[in-house]
Amino acid sequence: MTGRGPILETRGLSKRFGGVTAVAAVDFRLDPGELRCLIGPNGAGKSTFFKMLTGQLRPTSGAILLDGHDIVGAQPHEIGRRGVGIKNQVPDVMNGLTVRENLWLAAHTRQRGIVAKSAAGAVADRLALGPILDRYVGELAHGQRQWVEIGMVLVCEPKIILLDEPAAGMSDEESDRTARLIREVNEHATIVVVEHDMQFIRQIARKVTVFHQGRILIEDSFDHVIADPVVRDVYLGRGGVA
Amino acid sequence: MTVNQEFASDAAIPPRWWWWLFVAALAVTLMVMPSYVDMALQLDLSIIFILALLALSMSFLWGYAGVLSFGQTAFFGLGGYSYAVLSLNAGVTHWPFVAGILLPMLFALVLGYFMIYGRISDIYLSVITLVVTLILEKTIRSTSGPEYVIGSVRLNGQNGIPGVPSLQLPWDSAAQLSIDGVFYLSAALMLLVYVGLRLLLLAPFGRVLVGIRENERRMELLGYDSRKFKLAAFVLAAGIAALAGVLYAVWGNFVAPEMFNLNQAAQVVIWVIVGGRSTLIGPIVGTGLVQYFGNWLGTQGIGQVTLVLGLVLMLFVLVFREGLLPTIGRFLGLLGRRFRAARPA
Repeated sequence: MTGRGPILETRGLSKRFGGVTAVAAVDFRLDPGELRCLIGPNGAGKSTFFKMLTGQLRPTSGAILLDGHDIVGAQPHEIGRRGVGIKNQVPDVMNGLTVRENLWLAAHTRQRGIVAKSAAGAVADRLALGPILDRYVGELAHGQRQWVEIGMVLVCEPKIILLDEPAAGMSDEESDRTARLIREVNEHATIVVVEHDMQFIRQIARKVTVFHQGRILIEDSFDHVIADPVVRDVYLGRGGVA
Repeated sequence: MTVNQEFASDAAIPPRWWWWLFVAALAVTLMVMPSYVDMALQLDLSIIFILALLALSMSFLWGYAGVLSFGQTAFFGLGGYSYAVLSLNAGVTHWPFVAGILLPMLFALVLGYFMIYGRISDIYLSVITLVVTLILEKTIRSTSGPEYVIGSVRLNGQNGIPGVPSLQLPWDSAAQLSIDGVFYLSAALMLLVYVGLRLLLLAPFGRVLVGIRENERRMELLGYDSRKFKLAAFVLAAGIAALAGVLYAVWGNFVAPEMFNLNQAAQVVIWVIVGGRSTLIGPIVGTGLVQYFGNWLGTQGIGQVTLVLGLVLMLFVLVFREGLLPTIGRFLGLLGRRFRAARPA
């Protein structure tokens, strides 16, 4: 209904914790269908930014427009219902419940009865979680729990998916699978990925936004960003690209 | 990362055939019991069933919704007092029975709204519920004077309200529920609430509650308004506690400020911890055992019942953290596996 406008936009978005400004007047624009990577050193404000987008933190000032509507002050569940899904940095799952129950709880937000059950089953097949459906999530390895959380996000079929370090703690093979999955999901959803692993970003990235000290430092294609001397200086530092 | 054994993980799995058999056997046993046991035991068992309802209200809220209310006695006492005042005023008992449940639920709705929608942390919720029940106790205790009258009923402060009518039979308002009748009523309601809660946990509402207990933030990000679900659980639990309070008044024909007090509030917690909060049957058994044990200690002339009960509680908190029934269940499960493993050899 909004035509070709951005699906998500922030205007002057800021968050201060006491005297510390974690996010400073960020103007961010995300077009429908994008696959955006967010990078930046620790403490650059990426996770705070994500938390404001999902209503987990209330911005100090500024606006967040989802499909042109301001969602500042909306509760996390309202933003979730409007089609924003997030995978948090640490696996954020129901540890005491089975994989099956975790996926069903996610599916039940949109569907009822048999439909919810089959939607959960379909995502489990897609992510190859079938063999561990009846295991408790708390007993699983870190990488598997990440997959369960990704599955919970996917089963809700969100318009915008925010992934905070989706490949953290994964083996190379798992992280390749994650990259493939992200590209696949991107055919239907707009995605923002926060990652540190440059190899991983190289696999998926089109446009990259660099955060530094709560501001957007530069926004460009992966190759341009990686070649930028300022980015090398503040973020990649002495180590360079792995 | 391991799974926390102190809370139930498998509530969404439908009970197996033997559970239904167990419920049926329990129902039949309770049905025939009054023909075989004497009146004193019937009275003792009735009060255990009634207090087990109070334990169920707390364990449902704590074990499945993750909300630790230290003051379920607030709704227990309000239920009892509502029934007492209304039935004495009205001269009938049927609608006061219902109102005795609904009024405390209304109170829980208001109290719960401010606590849950105010997003106070779990520990404050425990403290506030405890303080509320103590305030109610103090308030009732201070109503000794003749000016504290509701309708024609004096609140009587410390002394409580005597002469609360037992339930009238629906088909004959002159006849009141006998001791058998009270036994049947409390047994049936306890069983009904037990089975009802077990089935509720299979329903989407119950499964969402357990999800919220496990990870409230994740459930909200998925799109659930956790406040709505927690408040609903809080009000439902208040209704069960109020039902217990009304039955208590019917059973003893008496209500007193002790229904609200710290001793009573703490006992509910002890029943649930001893029985085990990861099952619903655990708190029922816990109530029975602790009550029976307490009574028995009382007759042994030791004189330190509270002290001994305190030691029992410490033992459970330190050694059998899951509670009695889950511990036994795990032990039996282990034994079964050993047995099965040994057989083919």
